[in-house]
Amino acid sequence: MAPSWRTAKKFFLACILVGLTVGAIYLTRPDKPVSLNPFAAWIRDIAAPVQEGLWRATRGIKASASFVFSLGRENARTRALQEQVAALQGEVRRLRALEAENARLKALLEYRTTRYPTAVVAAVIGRNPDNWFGMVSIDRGRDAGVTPGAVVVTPAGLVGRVMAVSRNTAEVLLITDPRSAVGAVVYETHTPGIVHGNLGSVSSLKMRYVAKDATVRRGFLVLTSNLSGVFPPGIPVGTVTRVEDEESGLFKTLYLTPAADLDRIEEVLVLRAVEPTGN
Amino acid sequence: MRTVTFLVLLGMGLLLEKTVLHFLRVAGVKPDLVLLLVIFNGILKGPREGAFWGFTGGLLEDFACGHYIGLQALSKLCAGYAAGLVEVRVYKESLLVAAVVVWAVSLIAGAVVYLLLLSLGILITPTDALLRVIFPVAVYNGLLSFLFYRFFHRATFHGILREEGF
Repeated sequence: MAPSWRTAKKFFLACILVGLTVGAIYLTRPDKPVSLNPFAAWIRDIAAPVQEGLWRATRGIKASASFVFSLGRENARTRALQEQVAALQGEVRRLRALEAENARLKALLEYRTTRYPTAVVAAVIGRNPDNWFGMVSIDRGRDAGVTPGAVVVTPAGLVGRVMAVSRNTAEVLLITDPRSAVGAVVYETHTPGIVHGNLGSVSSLKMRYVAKDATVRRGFLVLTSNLSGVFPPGIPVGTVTRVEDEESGLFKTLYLTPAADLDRIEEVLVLRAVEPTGN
Repeated sequence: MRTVTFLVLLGMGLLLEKTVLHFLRVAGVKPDLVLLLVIFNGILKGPREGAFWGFTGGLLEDFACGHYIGLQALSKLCAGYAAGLVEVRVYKESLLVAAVVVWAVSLIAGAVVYLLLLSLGILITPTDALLRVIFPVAVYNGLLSFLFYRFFHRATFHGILREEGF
């Protein structure tokens, strides 16, 4: 009897341990952006300088190694880049024309816009340790005016949202994280949808619940929409690479490449909440 | 002393995962150094100690993330226990055997994480999870074991990790 009683006791204790752990997982799931508790914030702020030093050192070594290995390919690459620059210059001219038209129309409608006047510049100092989620640590926190839920962007496009803040650091949930959801719209056709991350380790996005009859093609631009209530409208989210019908047959799913290069971001802008004006 | 040394090793592995290893990604994934250490320890020390350090290492990783406390703890507990089950069944000095065990146990750990994420409502297709994370990480870990297992083995029996049993 004794050995089976010992085995049963061990099994019972193991079940209790697993049950408590699963309970802890559910209790600590991040439902909304938060300020970190004092202990966690203290740990983050202490570790941040070491993390930042390692991050910058590795980045420097990688840049040096890339330079050495790429010397043989520099000429061809330079030519390709020059052609790309020329194409981009043409695109910039087109966008400037659109911007001027947009400004005139908005003035006509007495619509006031702001373009990130109170953003905080922050450097990326680390990433999440696993391969499932997509999060980055930045070197600005509560002391610099970063708040939980603040939107994070780069000049190229949307990066994500601040999920946790300590005094001197913050954790940013990238739009490629599977927990992320962004209200978006296809620029060319004004078709709305929700952009979800896929896997943190993979830089791809899925825009779901797109109307089945929407004419969306590869290369179309997706921007944040004014329906989300979280992200300011008009920020580039990604470019369509593939269009598929959903299994239900009711909607389409668009596969996007993020506008911001989330694998290589080094500096980001954290948008501070804009105070409502008297008008 | 072994306890403190192993904790320091886990902490260093975690720090490297958050910083340096991002630049050493292959096929979009980086190796799981904490899991590697847990599996090595399990192979050499058996299931009880493997499970204990798996839980501890996973818990450290969860605290470093700040959310889903227990997610990595449970998966690495399973991994450490599974690695420990082979302690008396395999030739522990063989690099190839260690690499195969690392690969197989990494698959188990990845599967546990995936199932827990599903239970939390985080929907990732099985194909994406297997082909983009679980399998590549297992292969990467297996290849790294060729580099590091011999050092860990020597440290455990003759070096800084040598000490009293669990």
